[in-house]
Amino acid sequence: MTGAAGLSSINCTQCGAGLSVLGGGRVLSHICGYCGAVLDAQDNYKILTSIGKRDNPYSPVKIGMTLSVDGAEFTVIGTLGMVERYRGQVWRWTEHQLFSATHGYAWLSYEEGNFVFTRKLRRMPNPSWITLKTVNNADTPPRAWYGRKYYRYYETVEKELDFIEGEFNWVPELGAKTTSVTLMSSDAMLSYSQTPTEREVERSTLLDRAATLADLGIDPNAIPGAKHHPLTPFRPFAHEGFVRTTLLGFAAASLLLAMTFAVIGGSTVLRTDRLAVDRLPQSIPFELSNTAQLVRVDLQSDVNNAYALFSTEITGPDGQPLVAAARATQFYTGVEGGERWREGSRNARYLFRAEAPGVHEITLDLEEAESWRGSHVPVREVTLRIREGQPTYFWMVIATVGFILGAGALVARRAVHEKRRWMGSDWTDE
Amino acid sequence: MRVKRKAPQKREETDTMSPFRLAFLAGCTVALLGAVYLSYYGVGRESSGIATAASIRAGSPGGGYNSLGRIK
Repeated sequence: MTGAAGLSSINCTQCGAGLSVLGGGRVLSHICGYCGAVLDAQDNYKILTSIGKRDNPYSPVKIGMTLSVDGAEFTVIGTLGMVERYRGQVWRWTEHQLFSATHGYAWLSYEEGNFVFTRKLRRMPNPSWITLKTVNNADTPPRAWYGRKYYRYYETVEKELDFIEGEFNWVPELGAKTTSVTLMSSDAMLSYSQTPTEREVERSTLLDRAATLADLGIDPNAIPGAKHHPLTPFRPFAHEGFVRTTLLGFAAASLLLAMTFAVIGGSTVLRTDRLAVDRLPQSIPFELSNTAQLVRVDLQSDVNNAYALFSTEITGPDGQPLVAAARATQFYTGVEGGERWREGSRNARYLFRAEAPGVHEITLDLEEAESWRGSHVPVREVTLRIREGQPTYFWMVIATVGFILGAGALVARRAVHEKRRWMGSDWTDE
Repeated sequence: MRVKRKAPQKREETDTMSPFRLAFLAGCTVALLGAVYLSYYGVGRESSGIATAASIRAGSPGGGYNSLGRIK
């Protein structure tokens, strides 16, 4: 434990116990930790009242410890035990009054392993005051503007003084209640606190736990771990901005390439005129030179309100069967409820890979055809087109999705953190 | 006296190319080029529902025209 240099001390005017005097000239009261006497620091430590001996609330912070906040040295001069009761639930925490010879008075709160530093505001936020009534009548969470940041309503707390010890620049009373309307920004809280006699606006920030423990001289292993606090800052991964930007850039490049591959086709090696289906089967030779990429076979029929199933068989340069496939074209139109509708497609296709360059032959036949309604001829003609060197956009879409998911995960992590920060808010839209 | 403000924190993003950034860029480039390769050559994108030479020679229907389930 580090102690403040140059201490003076007094003896309690009720029990005679030695009490350190740490709090400077504006201390109004000094509560003896041994007997509970409330002494008037401005009037020779005259006994104002006595609250009796009470159990100390748990806090690793002790009177006399020192810490540095934003370069200012503070000494812990007093301890308050606070309690909040709401619908059968009870929350307890401790608040320590701090004194700096150069920066005046402040507060250090210890709650669930976290250290929060609080100071009274010198400049007023906008609006300068928010009441509980304002909150209850608001349709949206009340907001305030202070120090170039927006604060949004977080919670309202009615806290009660449950324990007092040490020096204070006011005269605390056991059981005294304070109502605080708290708003939160990305890194701080604004509290509009009201007691029966005064109003204050305070700003709180979460201190770095490890640095604060080291500063106070507290062994981190001797106290419970910290729970998540709403002011816990988001900790981005190293190079997160770079990684996110890079992933989005690569996603854009992948998407562009996917669109390019979707638009460009291979080179046509066979395009037939309209073939009458009553003259099928027909065998047509074509030459393939590209065996590295895919070959695309397209069928287009004049099927109308009917279904037609075509079969194809492709033989390789050695005359052996290479591919056999059946594809259906079916196309229907009609009017229903005064609106025209259409369904199906007159086109069909498939992709395959050639094994060797050379002259191939495709045999096209009509397997079956059937009209949907009436007795019209289901299909009269079909055209055939074959292209080699056909790319696909599938893998580029996969890459695009992968890059976007990567960037999205980083954005989602930040969003989850933000959502978690606000989970403790008592605001409801009802 | 005003509370002394903390010195601005050093930006996480630096202008220098760290080994991590270079490795990450290289990884993304490899992934992109890999996708380009797969797309250009149509790896794994042969249509299903067709009988290929292997299945035809093996006497398997292989989803060819004995398997008319694949209707587009």
